[in-house]
Amino acid sequence: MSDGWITGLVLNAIVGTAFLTISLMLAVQLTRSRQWGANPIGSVFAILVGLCGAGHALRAVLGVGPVLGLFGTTGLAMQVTFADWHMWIPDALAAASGVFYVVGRIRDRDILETTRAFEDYRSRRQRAIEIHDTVVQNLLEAKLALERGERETAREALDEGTAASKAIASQRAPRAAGRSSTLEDAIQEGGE
Amino acid sequence: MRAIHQATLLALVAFLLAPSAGAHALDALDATPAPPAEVSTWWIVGAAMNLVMLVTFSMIAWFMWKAIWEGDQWTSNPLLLGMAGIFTFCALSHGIHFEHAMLPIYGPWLGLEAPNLSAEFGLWARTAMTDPVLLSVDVATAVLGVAYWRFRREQGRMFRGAELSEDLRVLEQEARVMQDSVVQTSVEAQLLLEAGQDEEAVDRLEEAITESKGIVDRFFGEEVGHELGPGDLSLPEARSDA
Repeated sequence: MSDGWITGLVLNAIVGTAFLTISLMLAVQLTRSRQWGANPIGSVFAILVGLCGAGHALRAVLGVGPVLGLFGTTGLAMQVTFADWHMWIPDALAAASGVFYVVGRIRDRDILETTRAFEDYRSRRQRAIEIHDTVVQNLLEAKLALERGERETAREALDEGTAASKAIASQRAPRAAGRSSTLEDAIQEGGE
Repeated sequence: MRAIHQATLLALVAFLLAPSAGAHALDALDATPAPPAEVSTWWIVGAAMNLVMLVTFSMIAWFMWKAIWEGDQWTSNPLLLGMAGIFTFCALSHGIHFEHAMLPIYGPWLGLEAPNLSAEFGLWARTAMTDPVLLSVDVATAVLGVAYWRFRREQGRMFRGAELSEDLRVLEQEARVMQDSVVQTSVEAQLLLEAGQDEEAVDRLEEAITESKGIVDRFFGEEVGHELGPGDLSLPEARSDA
């Protein structure tokens, strides 16, 4: 067997280190903002990336084991599988992607200090469009109708705009779901 | 900034692939040692977990590539691109581990004879999967991959597009702004309208409109670095249709 396994080992070590770094970055933010329990998706994602990194790092450790007289047959088996150059291609690209992501995340201060993996601009644009179409347009229609003296049209548009803004607010605040939150609710609760 | 990212990516790929494509590639498996006589059946669990990881990671990657393609985010969103690469190539890597473990079954049937496609090589791959610590990590990763999809399906209303993880602080801040500046003012306008105080209702409506426009500007302005202009609130496909 040639020493081609060293390439596989180095690549897995890079992938492991990059993924563990990403996981650590997310874990720090989850801890700082106390979201481990409240944000199951963010927490599971951080651990998932960490475990994936641990798997790659462990493969590298097992592969280097026989050099140090450790891990016996399993270590040798890892060296043999590392020697397949087909494995080097996805591992090299995963390593490049991992390092690329870590460098990008460190440079992007807005993302670095959140538990988000990245910002999906298209989704952000769609959220802006949703607010524009459902809230802004209805409120504008209500205002124009009211100025023209069309009170019924104004009431309908205002009801729609208010309902849409409530729906958006409750959708974006899962931890606050179930709390009474509007002036209307507060008045109703006070009267009961 | 983008140029630095692109140069870093290219340099890394070139650096990592150069030795692979060069001296070692062709002779890496010239002399695969004889495989162990007996392999623990735990390899079946290892292979199954690698298959689960292939599927779950591919699904995660699919959402991201779809968002990159549909949102034309190839050069504007390096973090999304990097994360998509991570999950794609990680999925591929686990897929190849699974494929290797299956070689003793389908290799002879297909008449595969290359050293890295032989049944002997497959037995080595199976042996590598039987390390108890590695097996535990692979099982945990696969279970969490499935759990991730379950949580995501249950809490799907929080997610749109390719977002993998949300920040509750950011979401709550957005919700608070909407609640305090738009919902409350709109409800006040409703109550004033009911009370017949139309002029005051118009004033409140103007406030609510200004605040909600401000939210749209903030959502979108941060991305493009300026306030909204004509045509900004249309999706790329709509713009290209126009």
